[in-house]
This record gives sequence, structure tokens and C-alpha cells, in this order.
Amino acid sequence: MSEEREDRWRGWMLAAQRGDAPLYAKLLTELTPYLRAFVGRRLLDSTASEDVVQNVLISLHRARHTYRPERPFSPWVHAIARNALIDFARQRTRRTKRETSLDADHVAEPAVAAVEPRAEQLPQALEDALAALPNSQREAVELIHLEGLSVAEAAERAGVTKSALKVRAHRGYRAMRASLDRDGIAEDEL
Amino acid sequence: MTRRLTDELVADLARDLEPVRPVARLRVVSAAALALWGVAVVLAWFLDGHAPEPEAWPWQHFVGLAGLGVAGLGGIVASLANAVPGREPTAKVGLYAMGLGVSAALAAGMSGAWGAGSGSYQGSLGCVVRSIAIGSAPLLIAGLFVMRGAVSQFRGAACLVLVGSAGLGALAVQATCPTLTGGHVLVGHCVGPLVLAALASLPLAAVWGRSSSLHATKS
Repeated sequence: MSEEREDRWRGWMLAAQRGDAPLYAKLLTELTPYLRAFVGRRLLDSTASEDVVQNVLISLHRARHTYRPERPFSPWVHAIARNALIDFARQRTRRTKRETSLDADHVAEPAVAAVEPRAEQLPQALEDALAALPNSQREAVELIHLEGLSVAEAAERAGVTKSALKVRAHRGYRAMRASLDRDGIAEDEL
Repeated sequence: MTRRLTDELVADLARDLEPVRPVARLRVVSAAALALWGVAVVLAWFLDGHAPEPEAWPWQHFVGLAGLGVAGLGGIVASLANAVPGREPTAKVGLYAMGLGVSAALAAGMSGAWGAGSGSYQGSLGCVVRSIAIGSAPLLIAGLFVMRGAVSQFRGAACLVLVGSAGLGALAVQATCPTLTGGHVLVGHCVGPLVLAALASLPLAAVWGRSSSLHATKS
């Protein structure tokens, strides 16, 4: 990271700690491609890589008070990104352990020809994906998208901050998307 | 689509930005925790009486004292550094120190230098309680800092801060306890407080992890 950029980002981070939203937006916008490159070098799967970048941004937001003005900025960001990568690897390992691989030889032939997911099946797929979410994420998605509440109202109903609710909803969307991907349902079919 | 979500996330995070107070310097928090521990030690010294004269202490006793001190300090430093991204090297040094200190304290406790008697375990429970009471002084400061930090592995963080605090508590008890028999030193001053602290980290981490996800971005 160049010294000039390090100073600029450090200044923006300090402004963000004081509550300067425009400079914070600038910081996150400039950081995003940098993080994409950082994470992309360690993860080949581009979708997973983007998920990790989003997690880094969320972690950075949650941990922004842990940045000390006298410390360099880049080691702080790198540590957050590394932790997000480690968390991702752990989650993937846990998920892989839970899933059972189906050997092609042992999969029974379908009695009827497989059909593409039809429009009328999609709500059920969505419902299943929603039901599979952890309670907190499902509640966030339901409050915002099924009950049509504003983020502020939904946060009040859930008893959490607006930011926390958004993070939960965001994670819920991602988990649902991953679930639909696994079921072979394309996003534009929804 | 995923990139669009990232852009939306950036806009959301910036929109929700609230001013935050940066965490205190690690050395300031460490000093505050040690100062509070010092106050607890002085109180314990006056309330609980004194250990036999140091001339009567076997050399293993000094090893035990040093081990508990290094374990306590290492645990506290590791837990504080672990709560701040970018301070992993410091956390690693603290963790190694804690491991070394615990090993030294255990080895000293098991060396049997004090000899075992029929009353060797007498009063161990009292010393465990005293260790935890004295250790709760640095725990108060370090725990608040760690809980405010950016911790993702709650179990490890809880274990570090609890074992570190218990180590400092046990150090104070070892230095002031008049009962210096083998089983008592091992159980009451070493294994008891450290194992209890490690076990207490399990429920603490569970509660902490749950409350952390509830108040994810309150800070």
C-alpha cells in the first residue's frame, strides 16, 4: 500500500470515527476493489470471494472503534480481512462436513424426466430457503420484506439497532441466495 | 448481482454511520488492570494475613510464583491484543507466555517440594475462591475492553481473559497464603483457579456471542 494512500485512508478512517459519512463512504468505496484483490488472491471462487469482501466490510464497520489513530491503517484492515477469510474457511469446512456427497453411481435414476424449476415451484423454494435461515436472520428478512416495515420499525420490533438489523437481513439474503443456487434456481427466475 | 449487493452494503453502512470513541491504548488498559489487581492484592494482604517468611520458601515456590505471574500477564495481554485487529503478534507473544507460565506453575505445584500431609488439601476451596475474587479485579477492566473489541472467536477470547485474571489472582494467593503444603498449593493455587476459569469461559462465551450478535453494530 502506497504511503500516500495509507495516509489518505487513515485520515478518512479517523473522520469516520467522528461520524463523517461522506468520507466513510469514500473510504469503503476505495477499499472495496482493494479488498476484492486481497481476497481474490486467496480465494478462486469469485462469488465466495465477494461474500468474504462483504463480510470484511461489515466487520470493518463493527470494529471501526478498534482503530487507534497512532497505529498504521493497513495492518488493521489486513487483520480484519484475514479474520474474515479464516471465518469463511471454518464455515466452509463445517458445511462440507454436514453435507454428504452423492456418488453418481449410487444416485437412483428419476422415474420421470427431470423438469426445470417452474414458476409455481419458486415460492416454495423461497419459503424453504427462508425457513432454513437462523431465527434472527429470518426475522429480519420477514419484517422488511414480508411485513413491509421500514428498517427503523423492523429494528424496533426486533429490539436491535438499525445497523444490526441490516446486517442480519443482508446475511439472510446471502444465505437464501446460496440455498437457491444449490437448488439450481437462477436468481432471475424469482 | 453480488457486486450490486456490495455497493448497496457500502451505501447502507455509510448511511448508518455514527461517531465512535476509539478504544483505549493497550498499555493504558493493561496498566489499569494491573493497578486494580495491585489494590486487590494489598487488600488481601491485610485481610488474609501473611505467608511464611520468604527464607522458608522452597525454590519451587518462586518458580510457581513466576509461572502464575507470567501466565496472568500473558493471558491479560493476549486477550487485550486479540480484541484489536492488527495486534496479533502481541497476542501471540502473550499466548505463548501464558502457556509457558501455566506449565511452570503446574510443574512447580506437582514437584512435591512442599510434601504431602493429611491436611494437604485443607482450605483449597477457600484459596480458589480468593484467587477468583482477587482475579476479578483485573478481569473487570480487561473484560470490559475485550467485550468492546472486535472479537470473533468468543470462546478463545473468554478463555484468555478468564485464565489470565485467574492467574493473577492465584499469584496473589500464592504469595500470601500461609498454607504451603503440596496438595494445597497444587489444587488451591494452581489447578483449581485455572481450570475453573477455563470452564467458566464456555458459558461466558455462549452468552457473549449471543449478546454480541444482538447488538452487532451498536458501538
